[in-house]
Amino acid sequence: MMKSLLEDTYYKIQNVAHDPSDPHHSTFNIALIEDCDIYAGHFPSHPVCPAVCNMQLIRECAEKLTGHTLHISKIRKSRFTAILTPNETCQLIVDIQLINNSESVYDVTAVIKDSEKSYVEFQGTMTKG
Amino acid sequence: MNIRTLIPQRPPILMVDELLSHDKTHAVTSFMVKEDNRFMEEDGRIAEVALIEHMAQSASALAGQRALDDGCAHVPIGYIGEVRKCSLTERPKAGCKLITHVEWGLEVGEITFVNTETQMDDKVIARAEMKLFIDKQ
Repeated sequence: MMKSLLEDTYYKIQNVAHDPSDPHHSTFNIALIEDCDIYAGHFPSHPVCPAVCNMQLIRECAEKLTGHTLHISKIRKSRFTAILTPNETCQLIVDIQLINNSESVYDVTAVIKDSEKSYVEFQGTMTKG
Repeated sequence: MNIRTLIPQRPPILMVDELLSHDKTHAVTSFMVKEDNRFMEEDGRIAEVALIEHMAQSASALAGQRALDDGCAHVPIGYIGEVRKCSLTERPKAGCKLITHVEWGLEVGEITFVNTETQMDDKVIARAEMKLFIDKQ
């Protein structure tokens, strides 16, 4: 697996739980890191979590679960339903479902949310690197 | 014109170099992938999400140019609201130059639909339909 681009700079994983009733479904508890270098550019003096970092976070969670480098090859639909800022919302849940369609292809459905609302709803395909 | 006058993003997440040409509904941008890109991976290629950011910022550059053409004093901040029908077929290496075409679509209030396509050596390596939330402040 390639080195993570965002773990321990953009986010930290606090816990991973596997759903006993559904082998495809797992839940990550993560904390956003407020002083991540990326906020210097997104945006100066107005930090907002980049949509693409949240998709990268989902990719890195999928890599942790499979133990393989994965690449996002297709996004059927990814919705960003609320603006996420690191100083207001630090604790997040990533709910992820991975279905191994063939040897090297996974269908990935994921939601990033907190106790109040969801921020990202992702449906895409990841391919082993 | 300096890209920094058209979009609010700055390093390390600035993913477009130039607005090469534009009219009201189309734009062409360029971006040179560098070794020190924040999304550079261990295998010497940038992560696929960097291509999505590049396509979104290319659309944002057109939004900025349109705002300046309309006489606005500030360029807007654009947020990605939705990405769909997106395919990412090749991750560029350092030294690769990307050329991206943006087609400006329907506008509904602050939501704009755009189509984007990124080429490397005349081959399409990424495309997406996006819904952008353009915050004119």
